[in-house]
Amino acid sequence: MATTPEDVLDDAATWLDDHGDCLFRYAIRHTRGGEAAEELVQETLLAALAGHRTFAGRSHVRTWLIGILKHKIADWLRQRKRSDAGASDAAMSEEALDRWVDGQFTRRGIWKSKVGNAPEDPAGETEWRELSAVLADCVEKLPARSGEILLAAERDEKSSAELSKVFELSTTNIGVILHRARMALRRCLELNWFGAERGRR
Amino acid sequence: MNLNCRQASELISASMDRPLTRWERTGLAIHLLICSYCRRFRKQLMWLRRVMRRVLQQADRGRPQSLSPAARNRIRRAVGIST
Repeated sequence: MATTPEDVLDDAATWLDDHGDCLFRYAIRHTRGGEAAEELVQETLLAALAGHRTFAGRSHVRTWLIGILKHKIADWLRQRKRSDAGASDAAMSEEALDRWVDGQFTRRGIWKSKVGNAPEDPAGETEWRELSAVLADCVEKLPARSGEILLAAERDEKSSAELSKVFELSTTNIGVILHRARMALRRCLELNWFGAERGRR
Repeated sequence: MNLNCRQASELISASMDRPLTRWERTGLAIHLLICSYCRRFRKQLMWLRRVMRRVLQQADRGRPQSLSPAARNRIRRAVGIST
């Protein structure tokens, strides 16, 4: 590992050359956009430079860099959560979603309305594209944070323990949020995709 | 343990994110035996997970796989690497 400032910068150049794309791919999967991903790669390299002494070759360079990147992504998600609160017009508030879920069950906790059969998978490319658009709309309608958490659970196959770390919520909270989000998403798809009006059941 | 549909739906969702305890598993299994709506709800959530994964993975494939040369240069400058 480097000892002089010049050596350290040499290292940083190697990190960018050897691992830049890998970091970028990882970042872009978690941020839904190229610009944020580029910025996160940059912040990761800066943090790596600042902290290179703590590295000490205990793990592979890539593992170490991805570890830093994960922290940066977690920070980014937290920031977004704050700046995003109520940003989308379509999105409902967490309180409204909470009330809506309450309204789906009788006082004794029984479904108020019929739950239909599970739909079939889309038949062809066109239908998949349609479904993809409907899904995106339905996710938009969720409270911003609930949407982020649901996407992280489904796309990244994160367990509630991992989600609890990333979003700094208790696993119980994560469970409640995911349950509500899935209830709402299921209903939204039932109305806009697989409901009776489309002739599917 | 006698679950109502609301509790069962919570456990169905939870089972997708963590292993259920023995008690939860038993309670849910019993409820599912007698409740067709909850069985359908479970199937719908599983369908939802499957299609979401596929849709999101497709979206992933449409994304750039590497840093653009411009981005690379920007990062070089920001980090202080001479080009």
